[in-house]
Amino acid sequence: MLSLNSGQVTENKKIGTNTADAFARLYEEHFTKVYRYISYQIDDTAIVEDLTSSVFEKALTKFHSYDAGKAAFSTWVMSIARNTVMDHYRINRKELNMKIENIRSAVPDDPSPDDAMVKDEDISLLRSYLSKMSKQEQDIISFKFGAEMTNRQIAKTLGLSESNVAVIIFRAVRKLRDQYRGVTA
Amino acid sequence: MKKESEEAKLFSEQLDRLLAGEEIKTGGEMNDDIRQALNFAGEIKAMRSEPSPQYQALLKNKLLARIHAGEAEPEQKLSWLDKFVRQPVWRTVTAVVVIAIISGIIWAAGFFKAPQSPEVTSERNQTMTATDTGIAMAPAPVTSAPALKAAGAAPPSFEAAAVPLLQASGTTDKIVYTNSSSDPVNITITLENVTGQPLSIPQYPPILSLMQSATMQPVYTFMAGNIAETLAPGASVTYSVTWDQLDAGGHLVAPGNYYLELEDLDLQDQAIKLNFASPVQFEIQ
Repeated sequence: MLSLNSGQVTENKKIGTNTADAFARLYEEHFTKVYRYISYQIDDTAIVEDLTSSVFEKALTKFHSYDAGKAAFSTWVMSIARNTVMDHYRINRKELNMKIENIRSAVPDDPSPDDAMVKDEDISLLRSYLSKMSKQEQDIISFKFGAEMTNRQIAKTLGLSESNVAVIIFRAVRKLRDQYRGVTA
Repeated sequence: MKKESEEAKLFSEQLDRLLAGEEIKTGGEMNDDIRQALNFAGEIKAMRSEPSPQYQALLKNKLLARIHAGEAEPEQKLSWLDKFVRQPVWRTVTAVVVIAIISGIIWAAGFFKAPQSPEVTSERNQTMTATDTGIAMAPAPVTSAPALKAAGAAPPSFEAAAVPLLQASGTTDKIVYTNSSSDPVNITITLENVTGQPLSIPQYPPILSLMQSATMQPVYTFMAGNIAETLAPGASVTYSVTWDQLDAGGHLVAPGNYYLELEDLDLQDQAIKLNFASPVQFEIQ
């Protein structure tokens, strides 16, 4: 029988021993978090969807090897997500750099009247600044705002102390704010 | 330094409230810097992209279909016999025995009787190197491969594929590595089409996992590439990857024995087992 972690252990009885039910439940619980985590770092919906699919396909393939005693499912699946994004960067580094340059040059001087378009541009701009930060800062911001992980979960995933994570988030948000305000002011 | 740490803690507490959709408390010891950072954090939250419900449902159905089809049915619990059989060396032995039996049956059935005028085709092998920045291809020596079936034969049936379609082999540049990210493991993998028909790999290179022998758990996984690669009958393709001994969390892995494992390939919507012809193992000291 699959044993799921922490809070999920008690839920295991409710969801039964059926693998499909167990996986479906974990999928529903973590899908949006994984998607948001990736979308903070990738500026193309199609690629975000591809990578999200890839994360859950890997999770399904490796589900039998998941050990609840070693890590919570959220930590495990977010590690897969982080690995998947890193591999994507590794393969597409050149393309990514070009994209960032394009975003920078495409930021208009005047705000667009179309709110949706303005939001898309804001998101692209934010991603472009985020992509210039260290990989650790990118991960922490994406884990925090995308996956809504606690500082403790982030600390465990990245091997940092909780207080260190808090300081990095505080600094990174202020850094992003200053860069963003510098452009949009 | 201590002040920043306290401010960061205060910021984090309020940020968690913000992300949980609760009201944030901006009074007390909170200074303007923290307040402004929290306001901007609210903007970052508002900017996040949401997945479409259709995509979420579609992916869920696809994954559940895989489970129901038994393609990825995870094991509930491994017995000692399962664990034993799952050792790469025993997998290989089992695969060889199964192939030998099936080949014997096919041979006995007369499918491989020599044709009147044997047809031999020549295919150019390819050498492919996956690097950090892209994929480079270079031609390699020409080899000959006999055509197993006459021209005009039907494409291979993957449903009935009990014999390997792709033969995988791999090497590492050393057998023993020092436990340091500055002593990377250079891995070379070759995939050969051992069928008599062209094979198309939709996501090349395939997923490759670095497995820890002691736990049989993956410590790092190279995701599948996004290149569609077609291999002519008998043709092979070789690519290289480098592993810096860091796990998925970016930490140096523990010393010990490791081996490589290739994930199933998705060929024509069917998961095809892809095992190394002989185990690829190495040690980190």
